Amino acid sequence: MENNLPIPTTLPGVEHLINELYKPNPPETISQIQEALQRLQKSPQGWQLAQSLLARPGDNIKFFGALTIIVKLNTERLSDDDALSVLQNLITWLVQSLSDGSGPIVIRKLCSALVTYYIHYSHTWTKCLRHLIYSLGRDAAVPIEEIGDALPLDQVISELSTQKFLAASWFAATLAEETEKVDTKSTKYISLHERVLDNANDVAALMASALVPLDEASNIPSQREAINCLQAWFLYAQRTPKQPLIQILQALVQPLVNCLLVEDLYETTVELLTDTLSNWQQFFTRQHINSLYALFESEWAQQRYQDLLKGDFDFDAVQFGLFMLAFGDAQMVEMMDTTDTRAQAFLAGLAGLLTARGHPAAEDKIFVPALELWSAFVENLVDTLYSESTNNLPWDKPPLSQVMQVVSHSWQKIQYPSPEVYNSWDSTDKAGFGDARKDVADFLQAVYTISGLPLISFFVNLILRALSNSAWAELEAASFCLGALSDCFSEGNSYDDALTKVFGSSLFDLLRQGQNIIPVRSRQTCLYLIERYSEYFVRHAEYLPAALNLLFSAVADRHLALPSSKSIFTLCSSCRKLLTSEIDAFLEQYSALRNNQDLDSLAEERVIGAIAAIIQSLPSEEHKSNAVRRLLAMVGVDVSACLQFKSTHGNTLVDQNDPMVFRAFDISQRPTSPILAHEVASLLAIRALRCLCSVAKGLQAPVDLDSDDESTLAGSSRDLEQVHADITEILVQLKDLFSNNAEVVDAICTILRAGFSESDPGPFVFPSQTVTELIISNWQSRIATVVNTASAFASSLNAGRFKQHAVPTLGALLPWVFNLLHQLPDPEADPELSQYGIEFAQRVLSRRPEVLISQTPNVLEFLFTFAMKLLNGNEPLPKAAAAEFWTTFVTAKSDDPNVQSTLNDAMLHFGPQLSQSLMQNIGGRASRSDLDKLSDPLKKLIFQHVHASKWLEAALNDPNFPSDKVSSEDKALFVKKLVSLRGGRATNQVVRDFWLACRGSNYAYAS
Amino acid sequence: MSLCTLRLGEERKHWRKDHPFGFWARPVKNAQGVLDLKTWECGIPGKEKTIWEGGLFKMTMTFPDEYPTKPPKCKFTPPLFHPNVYPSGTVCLSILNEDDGWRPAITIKQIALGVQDLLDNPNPDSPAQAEAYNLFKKDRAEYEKRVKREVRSNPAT
Repeated sequence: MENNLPIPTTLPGVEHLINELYKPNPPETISQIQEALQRLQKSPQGWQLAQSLLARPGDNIKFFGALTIIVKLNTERLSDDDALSVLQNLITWLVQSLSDGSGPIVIRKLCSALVTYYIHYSHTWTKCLRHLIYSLGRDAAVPIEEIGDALPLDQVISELSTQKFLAASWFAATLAEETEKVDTKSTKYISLHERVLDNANDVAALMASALVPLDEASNIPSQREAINCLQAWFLYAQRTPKQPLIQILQALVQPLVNCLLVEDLYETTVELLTDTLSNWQQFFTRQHINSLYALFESEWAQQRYQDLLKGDFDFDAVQFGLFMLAFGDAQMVEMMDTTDTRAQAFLAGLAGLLTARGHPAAEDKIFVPALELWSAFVENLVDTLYSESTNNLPWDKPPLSQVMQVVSHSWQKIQYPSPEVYNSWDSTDKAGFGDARKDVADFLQAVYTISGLPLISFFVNLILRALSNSAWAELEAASFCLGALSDCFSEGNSYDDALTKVFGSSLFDLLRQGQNIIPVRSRQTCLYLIERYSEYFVRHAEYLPAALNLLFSAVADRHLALPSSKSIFTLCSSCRKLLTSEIDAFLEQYSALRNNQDLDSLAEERVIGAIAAIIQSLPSEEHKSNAVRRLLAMVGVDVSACLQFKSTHGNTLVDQNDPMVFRAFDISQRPTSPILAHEVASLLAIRALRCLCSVAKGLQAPVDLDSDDESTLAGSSRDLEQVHADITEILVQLKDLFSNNAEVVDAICTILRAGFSESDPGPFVFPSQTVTELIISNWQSRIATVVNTASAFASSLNAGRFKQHAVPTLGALLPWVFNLLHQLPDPEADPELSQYGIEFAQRVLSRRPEVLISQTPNVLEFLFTFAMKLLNGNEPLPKAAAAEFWTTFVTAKSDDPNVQSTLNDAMLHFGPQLSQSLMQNIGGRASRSDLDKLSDPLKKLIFQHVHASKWLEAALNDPNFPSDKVSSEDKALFVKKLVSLRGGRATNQVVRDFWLACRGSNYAYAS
Repeated sequence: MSLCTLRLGEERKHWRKDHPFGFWARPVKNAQGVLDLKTWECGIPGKEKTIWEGGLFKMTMTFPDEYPTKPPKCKFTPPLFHPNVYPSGTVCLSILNEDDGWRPAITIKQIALGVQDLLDNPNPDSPAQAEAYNLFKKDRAEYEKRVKREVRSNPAT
């Protein structure tokens, strides 16, 4: 902004500007005014201006005068004599302002100015507070020489008016706050901190005069200010701990504690004590601790405690709870000792904090902090009990009964209220309540470490009791807690007997009877319990059918569909071997589910995937093929409907109540008026394909299962061939009609990929020819995704089963990929396609270099040039892919001497170009995040090729080298370093440094 | 105790005291049931009024021995569809980069909030996965569809 305001030349002009600054003006005007005033402050006339302003009426004007002094003190260096005259002036102005009715902002700013003075000229004003107090007492700036330790300070302090006392307190507080910010390690300020300490006794005397008044009449404003000042000094002492200072301040703790009982001082005092207990426990002496215990045992404290428990969550009341917690935090070790009766009584009080009235977070504001303390307590207990020095414990029994008391309180507190109450909460309260429940789960996990089985039994019994009392909120909370403990179970300490009490109870029966019996939320949590303990069902197959029946019945319930389908998937997947004999029942369950109009698509995908996992475990190919064929028949219903809708005229409408419309749209997205048949068709295609994706994934052999199964003989049966044909037909049909839809392309590619990693034949492990044909056929969108699939396919070809097909397959795929790349107007026109295309080439090159090399010279020339352009380009991902391609190229090896010789020739041809590209990039053209990737080909080049250093030198000295910030010596040294590292890891750092040098050091922190 | 574990202990305390709504984060337990402070699991919720709203995405933070000199590695499990998330699930974010924005003073809370912010504000200058990045740049409608599917598969409740 160049339209600077002119600096006013007269005092009224300045005053006008200052007044404007504090008026509501547009931001640009304000910043212009500010800028003009700042220029004025920094000008040589600044001192004089400040002086004049401080003599004028008006708080804003005076404030600005004081501010100007601060600016001057901070930016100019004065002789000691000049400095002292500034000090005398400042004190004079302060005394005047106290008598002429100036507002507190002026007084405070003058106090700040005095502190600024002290920071720069402390050697001229060693007894600053004492001098200030005397000056205030005499209403004039007393000569500094008159001030000595011998003067009776207490008398002067006691005679100060409240106004003057406040000013002195502000100064003392600011002194601590501002000097604390000054770097204590800087030699310039070492003596500053020593001088501050010399004033500590005077500060304490000032505070004590207010906190321990000699006469009975207490002066609340002075006392409150004294506490604020004390807070500043506590912080100062904590940051710059010096024993004498700490002792001086410790003497003020008891008077401070007494202030708690003064209603008007309670808030300030309790905050200071709480903060100090939380952050600086060591500050408190044994005597202080005893006095605080006595305080908590007093009637005053008991009253406050009771108010809190009765549901008074006003600021003051909660503050008292936090004060207790801070004290508890400081008494952690003592509270572990069950023989310390005083600490145990306090611990019981802390447990009681979890019984305050109301729901956590929504109403009860002390529950979460109290539980946090208990979590820390239990964790400390665990550390103490299980640490190496356990033998030295002064006590033999941990306060387990108190901990169990807290467990009991917490599970009661996390019971959900009625839906009406819950729905009346705002989103913050709901989230807060949910978080509190998670905190309880964490706490229980910690308790489990010391308690073990009794904790499990506790919740098992609660669940049984809730069931017999039909107490659903209790059932929910107890199930939630038991579920939270599932993480703690590890093999060897299994508590199956306890769990059998739950899973063998009437729970499943009741849950199956639907919402009329048990409300949704409780059902949800109980279903979740099944998922959490899916391992249990692997060991106890007798309860598996009941659990699965229950879950299947819940899938139909739209509130439970997603969690229950997830549980079905987990259970079927981990218990697949136990369930094979029930496959017919599962297929029937699925068939029945499909009749449900509201069956959620995601839930369906999980269910069908779960069934596929069981099919994977079926004993024979024949069984598998049969079962898969039955699934395909059901999915085929959607496919036929889809084809039928697609065959209608483009503008044909379907009634919104058509059953197939219900399958096309999940309940929340259903149309309310007739809808285009073609839209229904593409949605049905997606749904069918997604189901097939789930089947394909479900059929994948699990990685963690023992491979003790007899591997079925290679070579596929006629059954399997038929299944392949059926699936391929669906894929081809849907692809031909819908490949303009990105989701369709994604789903088909996912289905193809699912078979790539399989080592045994299977329904979705298609012959390589089928895959190839599908890949190179016509696609109308997302061709990049298909190329990426081809890449994955190329990688999988080295696995045993496909090995013999690798050469013909790659021979068919390569020209297809190259042709796609060739059609691009330039390599960065479709970065995704370019990236996947070059990745494909890289994989072929690394696995079957002979296939790549056997392409015609034209094609090869095109490919290498393409890869070079990407390496020189700006698109980060294709650039990284190209770097990897070149890395592979530089290291490519073949057993076939002809192939090897072609590779060698190509290297001699492209080596200089590659070097050129890398050096241009590292010479500053690449961005910082590309450098690691670009270092890879460079490292290999140096390690593998004798000509490397020659090529690199030539590239660095090329006239097109992008940087003129490095000399030819720098470049030579760079190559020397690279060569000496021989492609080692440290190369990356050398590359980075060189790049920085080429860019200029101002790029060091940008990128 | 090493600086790393001391700091992580502090971080845990701070997180318990003060963490943003809807987030969770805690150290995992190893096979013996003992806390492994150097590996945390956390849940990053999608921000309200964005296409990510309603989702809760699981992320693992792995702290190196040199933490807090070096940043933790953050990885979504399963990998997340997002321009700045590598196919492996690793998050690419300047404050998590030792050479870039990482400072030892950055807290776990700040990391969690930073990652949440990244969800709806991808950085097009440092793509980590091709699919999400290219859809984000070229086909916003398809991108949003995919994000909504991620949200549905990872519901907050």
